[in-house]
Amino acid sequence: MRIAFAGNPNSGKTTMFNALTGMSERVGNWAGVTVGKKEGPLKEEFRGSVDVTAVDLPGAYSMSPFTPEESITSEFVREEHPDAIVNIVDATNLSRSLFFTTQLLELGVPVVVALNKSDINEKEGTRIDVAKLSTKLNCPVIETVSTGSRHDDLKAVIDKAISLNGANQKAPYLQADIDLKDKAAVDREDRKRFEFVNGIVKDVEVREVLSSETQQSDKVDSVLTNPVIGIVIFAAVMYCVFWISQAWAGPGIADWLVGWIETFQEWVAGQLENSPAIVSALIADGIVGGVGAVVGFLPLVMIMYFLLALLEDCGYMARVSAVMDPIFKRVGLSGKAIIPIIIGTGCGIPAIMACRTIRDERERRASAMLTTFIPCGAKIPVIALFAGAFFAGAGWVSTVAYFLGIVLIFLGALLIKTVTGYKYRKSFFIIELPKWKVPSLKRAFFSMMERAKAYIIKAATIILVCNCVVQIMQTFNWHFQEVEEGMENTSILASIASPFALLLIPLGFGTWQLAAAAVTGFIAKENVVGTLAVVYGLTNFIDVDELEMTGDGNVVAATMGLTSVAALAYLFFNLYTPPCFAAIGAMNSEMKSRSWLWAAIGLQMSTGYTVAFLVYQFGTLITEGHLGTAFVPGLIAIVVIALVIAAISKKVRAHFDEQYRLHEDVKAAA
Amino acid sequence: MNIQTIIAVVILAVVLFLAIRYIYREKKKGVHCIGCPMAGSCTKAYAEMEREMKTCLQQKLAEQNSEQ
Repeated sequence: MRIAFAGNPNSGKTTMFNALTGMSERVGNWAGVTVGKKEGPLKEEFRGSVDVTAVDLPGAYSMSPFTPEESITSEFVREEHPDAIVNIVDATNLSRSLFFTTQLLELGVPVVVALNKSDINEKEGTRIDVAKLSTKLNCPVIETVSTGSRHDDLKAVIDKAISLNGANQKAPYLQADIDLKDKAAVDREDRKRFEFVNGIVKDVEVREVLSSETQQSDKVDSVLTNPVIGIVIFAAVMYCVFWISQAWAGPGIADWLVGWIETFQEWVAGQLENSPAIVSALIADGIVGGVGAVVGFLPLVMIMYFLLALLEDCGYMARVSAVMDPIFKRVGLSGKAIIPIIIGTGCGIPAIMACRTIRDERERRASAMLTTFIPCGAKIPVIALFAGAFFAGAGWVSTVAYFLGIVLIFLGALLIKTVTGYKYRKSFFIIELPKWKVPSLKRAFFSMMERAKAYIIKAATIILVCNCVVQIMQTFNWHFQEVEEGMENTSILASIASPFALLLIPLGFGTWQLAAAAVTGFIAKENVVGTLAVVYGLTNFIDVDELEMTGDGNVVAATMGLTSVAALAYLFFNLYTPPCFAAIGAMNSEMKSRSWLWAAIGLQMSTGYTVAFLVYQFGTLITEGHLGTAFVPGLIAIVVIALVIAAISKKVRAHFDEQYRLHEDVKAAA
Repeated sequence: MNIQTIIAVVILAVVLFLAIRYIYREKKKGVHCIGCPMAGSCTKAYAEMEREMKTCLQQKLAEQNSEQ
């Protein structure tokens, strides 16, 4: 037997699904978290001897196919004929939830309504006459609390659904036979349905606090979503997140961990001192040193994800979307573009995929191109390494990195708008603001541990293999002879990376080691840290006695041949160029156009190059009173980039006349 | 070769074998990003969504054609 779990976004479907199946699908306190259907067998304690599969569908407000989520839900329910539907209804918002319920009831499949979040209603003094509601809807209605520890309510829902298997469902409201392609007719029918639903709600619900009354949370929201204050508060909140994770608690634990990793590395090197140099280098420097350098930043990653999970769970992230929406609309991006950007702080690939919910093709492609400017989780070790090595772990480095990312998204959107000749038009953005709640520490902890596990798996697989390859390429020359000490520039790695290093001279970091690290960063951004630890040696980043990052720009600068300004430029280069091949693959699936894909890669490479150039050259001018190395060649490169953009813009606009010209040979009437 | 070297080489070979085998198996399962906390479900979910939408569109086109 298959039971579909359907309902509005953020009604508690996935929480209920997880409780019933024992799976741990991702839950978030905002609409749009579940974007594909998921299946799983129910735990035996709920299903008894009956074989039951639960299908968790993405949230939908109606059966109209406006977005992929609603399309999946409506198509699944229509085409796959589940044996029963459990409609999870948010009891705190009955009038909105029942619209979808009445549509589900028209399908002829038995429906059980789980009136969820009943505990919140109890706290707010809202009472629903469940028996009356059940009579009016012509289906069973059971009060539930998905987050509860006892699951008698969920068992009752499943028992009822199993008992209704094969039964015929009669609908309390039937839509008139209309042409579904006629928008006006559909709108009229929807209004009639809302009137029917509002009639039911009036009869069954008694509220102590009317939704039209302003409550404390509404006053808080009016401040948090204010166009000016909201952004200032957002900046302050994110600064706190970065300061705690990357300047205070995070580095404290990371320094200690990296210190122990280095001590272990020394021990391994000691054990292998009589072994061939390649074996010692591969294991001690490549694996322990390289992977260890990445793993050493795990505490920063974990703390940051923990704090972001808390922010998400309390309901703040949805408010951030509302704050940023007006800004992004001004530059031709859909208001929905903020959601991929927020997802992008975790990983760029789901962020690019999340652009799929943007209907307009141009806006969708633009969002997919720009969303990776926000630093993802993989870039945190890179930020932390440079902040720790060059800027004594200052919190402002992370804050600047993230906010510069947002500024680049803004500027990139303006550029795309200019190139494509796009005119500003209204686009609407509606998002549900979930209720404020005390964030669940347990959920944030599990979210953090999930990320930590993924991070360690990545370090133990991709980064480990990459570091071994890098170490081998650094140890041997093209004749497969070991390179002597001091002759590393004859190695395979140096010969491959050197041509790239030439291009990077105007950016202040034209050495093959840094070029090699940047190139390996395209496999996984954490590789930048791993490769730097391999090519330079981990001991140059930490003080063994103090078990902490040196933070002494002079020592590290001497090792890397970088000034602090050049280090910042290198950091920004790695942050704003294409993040990784997986992200490029995701953009490829999203763009569905070779020219847009290459435009995206070109935009990201140009942006990273230009930002690094400006930071290095003008930073050097400010700090040392003269421009940096190779200013003129760098400027020529930037001018070439600008000319290419101008040429593309001209070519795109040249087609506008052909496309939109009304008449050529038609003469005006006399 | 001394015993430490032999042990080190064996450990290295085993670790590399396990890492490459893991990567290979995950790629075969269709996971795009190794070590992704969502286990690649974002790409799987969207690939599934795309397939379903294509099927839906094809069915609708077939219905329209048969009506005509």
